[in-house]
Amino acid sequence: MTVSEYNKCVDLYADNVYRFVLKNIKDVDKAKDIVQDTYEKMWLKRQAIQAKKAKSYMFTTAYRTLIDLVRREKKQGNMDEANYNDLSHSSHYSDLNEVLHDAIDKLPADQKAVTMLRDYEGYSYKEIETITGLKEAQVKVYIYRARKFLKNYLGSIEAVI
Amino acid sequence: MDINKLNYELYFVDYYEDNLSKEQVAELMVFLEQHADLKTEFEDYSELESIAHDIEFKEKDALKKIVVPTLSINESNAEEYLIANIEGDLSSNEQKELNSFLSANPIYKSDQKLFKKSKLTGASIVFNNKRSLKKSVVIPLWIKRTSQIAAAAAIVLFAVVIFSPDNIAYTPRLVTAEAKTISDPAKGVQLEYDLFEKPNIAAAHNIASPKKTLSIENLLAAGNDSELIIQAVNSPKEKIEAFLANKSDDNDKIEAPKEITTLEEVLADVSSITVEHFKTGIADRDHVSIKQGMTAFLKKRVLKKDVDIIKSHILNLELAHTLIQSVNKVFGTSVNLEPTYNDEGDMIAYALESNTFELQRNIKNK
Repeated sequence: MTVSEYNKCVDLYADNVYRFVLKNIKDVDKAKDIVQDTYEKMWLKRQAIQAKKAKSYMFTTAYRTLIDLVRREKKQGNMDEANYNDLSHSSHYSDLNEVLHDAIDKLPADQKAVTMLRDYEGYSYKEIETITGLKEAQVKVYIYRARKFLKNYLGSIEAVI
Repeated sequence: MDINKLNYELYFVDYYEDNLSKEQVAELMVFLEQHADLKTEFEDYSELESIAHDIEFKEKDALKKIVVPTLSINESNAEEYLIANIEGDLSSNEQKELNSFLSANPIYKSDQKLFKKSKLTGASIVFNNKRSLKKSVVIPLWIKRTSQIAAAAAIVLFAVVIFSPDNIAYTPRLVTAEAKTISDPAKGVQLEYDLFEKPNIAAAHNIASPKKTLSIENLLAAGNDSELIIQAVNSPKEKIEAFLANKSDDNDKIEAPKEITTLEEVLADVSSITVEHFKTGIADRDHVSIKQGMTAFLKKRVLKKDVDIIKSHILNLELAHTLIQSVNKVFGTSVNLEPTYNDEGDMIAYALESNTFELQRNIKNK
């Protein structure tokens, strides 16, 4: 990867990586740190990274960093344990997006990450497998579980409203 | 919820995560007995948390079967179908089946809407400090240093080659001859030349050189394997050539050729002559040497100076200077070539100097 290709990756993907990280950890400073760290790692390994694989490399790096962070800080509690019964919510939503993002925040970290990779970045199950290191079937299961939770959460809001 | 081929993956994951009740575990075991082809995949799920580190059976895909829902959509699997629909996992036939199911069971249309709403849409979050992530195109210091060292090494190499004794022997010499008459009653009036050699290196730099008397035999001996090119300052070239050609075997005494009628006439012409001695005469050749070509190329292309290849006599020192200036210009180095002359104007040593090194070398003149 050349310097210009690297800089092009900054223009093309910095927003995506930042959004992905920020949505997962809800901490602007830490999200910026992870983006910086991700790009720095890519810069150091630029000789071995092809430009067309750069986006995948960045999401892989960012994912691992943020999962480590989440596990370390236990912000999400036990990642592997989804609290599907936690449908408590605020009644002061102004639009669907707020509801959805509130619901997303209640998902376990892995489910949240794979769902965001799927919806925001349009990655296939196979690509998410590469990024996250989860098995393709496991990715699919997590996404299906997340969908069910989000649907139930949205349903409960609609019932209240 | 009944286990079927559309939702068995959920059961597999839940089984290894201890999320199944005893009844569900029993149900799963019965399902596996009925679908022996899924046993391998089931066992594969036991490695969920140690995927990256454990040894893998890489041909698992070959063992797996394509999961095609064989059961019709029903209440127990409707949600999976609705999710599969928004994820784009359904075939056209399955989509038709789902549409038929929704027509027959409109109550699921609200679920369908909710699932569609669960898809995240693009957020307007931007990373404002992209400039801090970008890298400028700079040559790393170590590459710069390496290139400087390489350039310096190239200069030294060329200098060593150029100033090696063999090459020094081929450098042109500029000789000035002054003629005077000698009266000999036995042989008549003769010409005698006092030759003053001005080292061409000094001459090229307009350095005053003390006159050095050379005997004519030295000049002629040096020219045994060479071509003499004589440029007369005040005299027709042919006359001087005739003198030297006719009297080369008579070392110091050169008689006036017969075709020159009077000695006075000759003296008037040859009171000062310039003789240039080259191994080969550049002015008479229709091709240029590598040295000339290289110098001319560097001057024209790198230093942007005009140069007449044929007419100019390229000296080794000039080539070295040109080479060093070119390297400095291309690599941004600051290497200088400083020659040292003796009292007679001969170059006796040279030094390569830069900010980081200094190399001196003595020249052994033959």
